[in-house]
Amino acid sequence: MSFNMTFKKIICGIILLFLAVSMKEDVYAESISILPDGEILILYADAADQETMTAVRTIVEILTYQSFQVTYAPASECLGQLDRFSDIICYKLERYPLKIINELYELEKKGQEILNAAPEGEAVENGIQIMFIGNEFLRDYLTATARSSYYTDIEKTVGKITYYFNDYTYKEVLAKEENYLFLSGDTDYSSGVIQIQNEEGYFCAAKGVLTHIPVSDMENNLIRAAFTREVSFWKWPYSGEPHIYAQYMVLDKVYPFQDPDKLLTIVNAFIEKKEPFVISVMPIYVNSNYPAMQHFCEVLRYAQNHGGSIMIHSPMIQMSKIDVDLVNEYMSIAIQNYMEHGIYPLGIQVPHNWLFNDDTIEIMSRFRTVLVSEEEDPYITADKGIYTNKVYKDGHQWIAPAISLDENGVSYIRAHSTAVLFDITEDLSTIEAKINACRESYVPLKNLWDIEHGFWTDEDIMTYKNHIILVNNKRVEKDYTPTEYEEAFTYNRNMLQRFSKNLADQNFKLMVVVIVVSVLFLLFILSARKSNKRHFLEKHMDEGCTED
Amino acid sequence: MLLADCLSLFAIVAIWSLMFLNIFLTIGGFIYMIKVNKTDGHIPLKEYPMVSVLVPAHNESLVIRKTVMALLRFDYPIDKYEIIVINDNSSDDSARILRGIQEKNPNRKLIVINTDHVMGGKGKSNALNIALSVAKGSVIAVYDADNTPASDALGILVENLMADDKLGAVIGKFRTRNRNASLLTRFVNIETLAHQCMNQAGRFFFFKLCTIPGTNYVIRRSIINQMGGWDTKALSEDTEISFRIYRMGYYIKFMPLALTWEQEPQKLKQWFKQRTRWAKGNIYVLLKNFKYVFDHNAGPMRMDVLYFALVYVLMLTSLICSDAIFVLGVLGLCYVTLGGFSTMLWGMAILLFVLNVLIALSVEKNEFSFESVMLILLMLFTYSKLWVAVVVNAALLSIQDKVFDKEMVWDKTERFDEEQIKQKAN
Repeated sequence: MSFNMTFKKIICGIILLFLAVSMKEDVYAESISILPDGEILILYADAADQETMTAVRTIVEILTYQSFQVTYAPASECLGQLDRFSDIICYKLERYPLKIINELYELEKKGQEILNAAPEGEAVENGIQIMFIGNEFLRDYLTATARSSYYTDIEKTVGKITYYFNDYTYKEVLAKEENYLFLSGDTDYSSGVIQIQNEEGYFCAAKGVLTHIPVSDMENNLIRAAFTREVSFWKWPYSGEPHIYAQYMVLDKVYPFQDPDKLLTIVNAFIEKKEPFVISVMPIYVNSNYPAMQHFCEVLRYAQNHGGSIMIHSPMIQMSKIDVDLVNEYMSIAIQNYMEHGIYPLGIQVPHNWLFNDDTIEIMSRFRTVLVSEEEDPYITADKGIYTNKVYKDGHQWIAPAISLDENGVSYIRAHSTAVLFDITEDLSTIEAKINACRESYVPLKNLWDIEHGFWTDEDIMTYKNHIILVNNKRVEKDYTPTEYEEAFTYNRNMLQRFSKNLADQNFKLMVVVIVVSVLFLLFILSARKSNKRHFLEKHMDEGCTED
Repeated sequence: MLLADCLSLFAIVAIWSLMFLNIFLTIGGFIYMIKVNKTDGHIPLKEYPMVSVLVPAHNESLVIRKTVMALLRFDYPIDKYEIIVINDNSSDDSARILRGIQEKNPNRKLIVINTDHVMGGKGKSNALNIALSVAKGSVIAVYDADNTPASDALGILVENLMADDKLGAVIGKFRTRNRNASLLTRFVNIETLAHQCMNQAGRFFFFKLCTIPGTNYVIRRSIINQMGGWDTKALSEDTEISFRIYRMGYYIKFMPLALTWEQEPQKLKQWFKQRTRWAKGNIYVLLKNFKYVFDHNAGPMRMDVLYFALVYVLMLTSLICSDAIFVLGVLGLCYVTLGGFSTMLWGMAILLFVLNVLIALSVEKNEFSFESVMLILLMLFTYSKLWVAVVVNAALLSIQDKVFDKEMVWDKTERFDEEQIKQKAN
């Protein structure tokens, strides 16, 4: 009897477990966690794939550069919490709980009431906005709320986007979607054009509380750039254009062992054109007194004194688990090494995925100004389960990577600060062409010395305010006076290091010797083989003669 | 600078130095071999001296018949040589076999000395000293009990010795009789040709220096008498005696046309035991003679002691360092930050090693083939590594012997019945 009971309990347990596992896909949890606060909520599909998550993080990045606090979560986790947010972006929602439509609709109605109540032409206070990126969910949403006539379906997959960044500057690109949908009838706002064979729609349009962008491919540079601009307008509560941000010309990843003469030539090209520029230098931890470093810093000091500013690049981290203290210690050493040479970095340059990892966010937190590059740190993985742009809390001054839309890579974005990166290994003519393109761009150029900066390390605190640099509360100057170098620098190498250096120098000579010896040995082998063959034949001939 | 950097630097300098030394010797060896191969090796004498051929044998019943029969077939005047087999405390039927050969060859000078555990069983040197006491020849030839010398070997050796008064000894070449028995014997064959023959030839070509290999050599009786016989404490009595010959102001000549074939260990265990004995013996000789490196009167011997020191100290330590760094590097436990320490260096070293060995094979008949190239590469990563284990083991045993004041024990190499193995294979 007791055995039967136990058996039944086990069977029931297994069935319950099976149901729990199998229903996970279909039964949506009723708001299991409280989402962190944010100005904007991004909803994405439940069980989103890697591609979707990458796109969501791109949107989060763009909004972070525009200094918005963002919350992002899969649709089912947002249930019951939508009313905590005034601006909602639904990104390519393909899987969602049906309840989300009702909640969104309630919010839309509330937003529409606020909008209707606001005096025409004035900013709407406490308004609500919903942006749809992609087409499927908007179709479902409008159909479910009995507004099938609000949209037009176009059963085509490829469209040509034409987007105007201002009256004179536009870019075109082909974009692919599963199908296209456009809000029909009169819209309150529309920008850009998507041409789909004979049909024509918008890139972005707004109708009441709803805003729609039909294309969702965030890897497409033009879509990303246009979205950046549109989202800044969307968030701008007033009429007219939002604040205009500048672009910075940045010499990317400059190492002390690179040719200082070339660096000086490039620096002089900027100075001659009277344009501000930034040099992003790689961190140096040892041998900062070596002549190569001295010459490098001489050029940097000269640049610093002639309108150039310095940023320090993040270290190349090759640790599967980052030791934050160790990285901070090394960064402290690197910054101190530069400051000893009279170089005062104003901020840090980091790969873009540093924005999504707790450890790297902590490392960045010491710097007010952060320049982000498009490169990706392969050792950094995005922390899972974070539903907000945690980096927002540190109040950074962001300089985002310019989205390249032409061969010069100049910025078309004025919604946030951007950096146009220059590779100093390129030809001088290419670099000059890029400088000219930046100068001619409608996005203004700016000098980093015109804004405030600051950072702290394990050893030092630097602040730059009102054109005064303070290091540990002591004023320092960035004046340039040419240095006279020691003719014979003492490297203080021990015998082994000297030998090691010689070994590196001798490698080429050794290769030549090995080639010569190898050829000689091959000749020996050939001659020995020939001699053996001759002896063999002679022996056989002799034997043949004897037999005869 | 990290410890790994220092060790890597040491390894790379040591390995490349030894590599260049080897290249130098190979060039000399090649020229010498080509020169000698153009002759028949004979230098006819007006009068041939009396030669005593000594064969120390301990439990050699599997191979002794073949050896003695080969010795009896020497095309040297039969009245001018005697064969003395020292059946050294054998427990097998060597005595019976030897008696049988004596009975079948009553007109030949074949002397068999059977020793017991009181007189004999104390190693090769002791056995040779016993044989020396009854030897009548003014020239002494030594053959191991597993050898099958070519019929002209003794004649060539004696003629070359007698042709030059400054020569104390002449050594011949030995080849592997059971080359195709196993992968190990193939490796031994390549090693014998490349490192023993070619190196000997190179050292003789440049410095008139050779090391007696323990078999297939002739030496003047007067020299042996003068030095009081073989050193019974030496496991490598051959190396030891070579050094004493140098010190007496004589040269040792390498004559590759005097050929003998010998049986090499077919199994790893026997090989390891034999090589450990050799290495132990060489370490003993090296320690005994190292003082002469600094002795200006020691003549060319200084060079040879230094060569041994380089091989046993420098090569061993550098190989241990480089292998340890490689293994630790693969495991991610050690990093080398040294400038110039590149994979190309190792690649070039391997290339030179392969070419170096191929030269030795190219001067031999039927040894040069694509299969040999593959074997050399395989050998580099397997057999050569075993050498490190052998020397480390020998060094540890030597230390143990010294600490516990142990007597040197002759560890006899186990023989194989080749005929039986061939039959089984068929």
